[in-house]
Amino acid sequence: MWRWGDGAIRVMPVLLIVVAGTGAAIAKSDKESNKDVLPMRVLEALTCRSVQDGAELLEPVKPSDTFSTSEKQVTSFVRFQHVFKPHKIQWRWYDPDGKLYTQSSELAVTLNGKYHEYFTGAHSILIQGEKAAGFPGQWKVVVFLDGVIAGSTNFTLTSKENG
Amino acid sequence: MNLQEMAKRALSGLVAVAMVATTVLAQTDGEPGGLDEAKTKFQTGEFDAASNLLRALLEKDLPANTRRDANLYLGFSELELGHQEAAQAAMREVLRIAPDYRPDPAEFAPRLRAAFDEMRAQLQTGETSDIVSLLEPRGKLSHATKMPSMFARKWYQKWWVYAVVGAVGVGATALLVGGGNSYDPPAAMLDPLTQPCRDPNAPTRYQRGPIQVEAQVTDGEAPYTLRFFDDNVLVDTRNAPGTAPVQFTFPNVESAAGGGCRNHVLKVSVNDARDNEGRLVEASAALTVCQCFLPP
Repeated sequence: MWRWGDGAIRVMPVLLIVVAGTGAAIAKSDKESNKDVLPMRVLEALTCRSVQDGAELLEPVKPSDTFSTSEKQVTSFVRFQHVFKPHKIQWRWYDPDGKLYTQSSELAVTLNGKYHEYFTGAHSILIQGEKAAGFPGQWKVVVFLDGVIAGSTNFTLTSKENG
Repeated sequence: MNLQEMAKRALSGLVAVAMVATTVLAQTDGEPGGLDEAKTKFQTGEFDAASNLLRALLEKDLPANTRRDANLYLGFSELELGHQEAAQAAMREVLRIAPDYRPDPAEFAPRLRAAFDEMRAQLQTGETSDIVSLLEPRGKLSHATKMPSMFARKWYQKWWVYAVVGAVGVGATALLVGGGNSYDPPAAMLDPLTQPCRDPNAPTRYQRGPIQVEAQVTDGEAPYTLRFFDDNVLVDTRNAPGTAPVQFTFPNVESAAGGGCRNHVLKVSVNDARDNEGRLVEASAALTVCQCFLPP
């Protein structure tokens, strides 16, 4: 008298398990794709004299695009938006002749799976008493994100009197 | 040609050479466009004019000292004009020609001489330093926040939704398979308690007369109603509140007429509170009843 109903009831749990498994697989693949489509981007890339620890992020100190060879250092500051997965950032500095002067080690941005709206990074080269002081002219610093150029900044290094 | 004539010719040649040399020197120094004019321009503050004159002069083939001085005045002129890199280039030439050269105090103000010394130090420092210090980069993340809705996963993309659905499915399956609160009808057993005859030739024969049995009921729902039958003839009924064994005595189980043996089927039929949900629940024991020579 209930045979047809019993059969449906017995099949339904199996269907639920199949649906759950399929859905979980889809959700996992979509989860990965969501990370990929997040538009992580460079909001700010500039040179400054140094950086300081702000309330939440690094902050540039005395931004400028002209520095003297008698100054201590030049700092490249960069700010990213929409950070959701691990990344690696590297700075490369080029002298006025376009030759690679130096490059930083890779800075790892490690997360715990959560979303962060901003990331700030900085790298400096020393000037006074260093090889860079002998290369006045227009320099370039390029920021790489996971091996791809994310941004670049030009700055001028001048001798002391013009600094 | 006598000696006098030869001497006259030699002297003329020397004068000619001297005149040529003087002319060349005049053009580089005292003549318009020469070093002297450039110096005059510099001393009167016409630095731009001095710089132009000196650059034109330096394109010519000059004695080392003249080239040195021209670069020196050019460097100071560019310095006064604020052209640091051009001044540095000119100073570099001065030091290349004369590495230990120092500007004449009688000719140049202390300010200019100090600038020259400072620039010499900078140039020398820059040329000799090969130090490239490597500093470590640093970074800082903002606090973790909720992902913007436009990037957040939809409900059907959240794994825990499917975990809940799967758990419901597994639970339902377990209930169906396990039975949950489903009803189990009673089951019964019937065992004779009366001992059979002691006749070794008839170990399974029972003495005619009263035979006691024990009925055991399991599962179902109490209370139970037990009906005892002898060869499908109802003998008696008993009520049992639970599943405790029920003992019953069939009062008179007969052998065959004339003293022979007779087979009996002693049976108990059980009905529980749900009337077994329509199921027939029975237990029986088949006995051979005789008049034994050696009763138990």
